[in-house]
Amino acid sequence: MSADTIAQAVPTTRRRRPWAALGRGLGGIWPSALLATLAVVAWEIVVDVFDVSHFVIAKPSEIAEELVDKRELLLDALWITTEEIVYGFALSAVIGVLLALVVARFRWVDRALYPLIVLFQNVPKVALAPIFILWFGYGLTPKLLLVVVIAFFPITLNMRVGLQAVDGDLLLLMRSVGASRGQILRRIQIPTALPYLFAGMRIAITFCVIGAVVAEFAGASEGLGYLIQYGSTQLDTPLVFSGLTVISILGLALYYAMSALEWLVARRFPLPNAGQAQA
Amino acid sequence: MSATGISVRGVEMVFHRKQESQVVLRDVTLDVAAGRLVTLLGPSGCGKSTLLKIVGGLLAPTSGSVTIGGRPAEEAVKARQIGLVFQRPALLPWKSALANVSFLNEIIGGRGAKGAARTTAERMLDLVGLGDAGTKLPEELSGGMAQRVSIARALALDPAILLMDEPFGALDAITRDRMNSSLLDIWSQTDKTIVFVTHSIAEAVFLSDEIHVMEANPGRIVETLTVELPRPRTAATLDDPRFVEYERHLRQGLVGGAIEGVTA
Ligand SMILES: Nc1ncnc2c1ncn2[C@@H]1O[C@H](COP(=O)(O)OP(=O)(O)OP(=O)(O)O)[C@@H](O)[C@H]1O
Ligand SMILES: [Mg+2]
Repeated sequence: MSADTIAQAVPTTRRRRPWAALGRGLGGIWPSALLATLAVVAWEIVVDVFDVSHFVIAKPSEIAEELVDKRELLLDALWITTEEIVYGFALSAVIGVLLALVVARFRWVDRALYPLIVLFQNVPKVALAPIFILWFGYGLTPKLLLVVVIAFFPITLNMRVGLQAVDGDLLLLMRSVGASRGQILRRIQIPTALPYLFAGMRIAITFCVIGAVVAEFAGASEGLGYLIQYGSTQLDTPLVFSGLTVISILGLALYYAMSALEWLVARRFPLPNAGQAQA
Repeated sequence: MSATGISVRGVEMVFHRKQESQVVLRDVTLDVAAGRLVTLLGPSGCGKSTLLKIVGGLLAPTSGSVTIGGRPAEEAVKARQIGLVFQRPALLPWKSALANVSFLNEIIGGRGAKGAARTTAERMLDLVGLGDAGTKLPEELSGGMAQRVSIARALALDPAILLMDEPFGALDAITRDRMNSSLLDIWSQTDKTIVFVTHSIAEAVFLSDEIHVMEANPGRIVETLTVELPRPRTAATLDDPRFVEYERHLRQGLVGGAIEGVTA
């Protein structure tokens, strides 16, 4: 199913050498940074030369100016949206992990619930935003709800795969010493699943940003999504673009924070059998 | 603790899949005297691993019985008399070699047992010749070393019975020969009863007191051969005319269909 393939990440393994990755990362940044700078310069020039209307597009220099001028407004909005994302993400992680554990522990739950969850993935959840607003008003609740509904799935999916990725021989070994299911879960399955879980969380954090902004579009009185929408109704294009800039930077920062966390976990808990002799 | 023998009586194993059912083991009866090393030798799919799991009390047979030291196999599991070694080392990749060896004893004994478990683990790593490698992670070990760790892990439980399922099947020929010699060495220092699964004829002859030859469809024992080669067995054993004769006999039986009841 498409939802399955989209949301499932392959966890990074420990085998990658950190300095090599870092070197490649830094080496890889320069071409992108150069290209981005060129694009920004070109943008500035094109808008100037063709004298595009202020209402259609803001120049980078105008955006920068706006970012400075309206910094307090933007920072307040950033704070609100970050709160929604972080709380929503934390909730998604808790719910996603618990669901994966329940599904892994009870086969009948897995059989009954999992197909429904996958089916639910095909509901365009963004379209639920107005309903949540209708039910829960303009506060934090509908935002958290939308974020969770969008973001828990990649976490559950990846965690579930991780819990099942356990070596069958290891399970046999645990049974041969009379280990309980709880012990098997705690000592073997969960550590094995950790790199998968963090790969899922890396995807989920991106979904959280989308969820929070969309929820604010649908109905809010504060936050970056609200600011962008407000700006567009007021034809305040620089405000729209500066809001976009801030939300993009936030998204990037969160994504890289999750990637860093994922890398740290993969280093501590490498994927099963990595580096062991295979037949 | 004196060594413990195994008795398998009329074991049948039928796996049910959707409509069909497959008879994987038919009327398997064998005895393993205490302290012996016996092998199950046979082609892929003849039910060796299945039989080993049944012997270890990890799988209930459809019918028939297994007793270990006169008691049902499940009780041997409860008494933690079973040690397992598989074809792949199946180590926890996030734990050091030492922690991997002591891991099962820590589970059995709970928090209080950690110190004792680590001490035992160090002794066992010494026994398998990896005294210096305790701090290494599995990914830093060669295939042969990783397999030694998994043998140490099984020995650390001090089980009466050691069940080994093609433990050296994934290793290169040279390492495999060395592992065979050191297995015999380790075995001679303990009083374990070993059931060893292999599809290498030479390995079976070199290691065993007794070889149970199996065939597939349905899985059954077609011949039991007592290997009367002197111990300790060394490289010289391989040149013993009787070794060559055992090997030839088994090869003819398994490949040429000369063993009774086997069609090529
Ligand atoms: N849990 C199971 N459910 C259904 N069939 C099984 C199961 N386990 C094993 N079998 C079947 O039983 C037969 C014997 O399997 P088994 O693993 O015991 O063979 P084996 O002799 O160990 O083979 P190999 O040398 O390849 O390891 C095979 O045909 C296999 O498909
Ligand atoms: Mg097998």
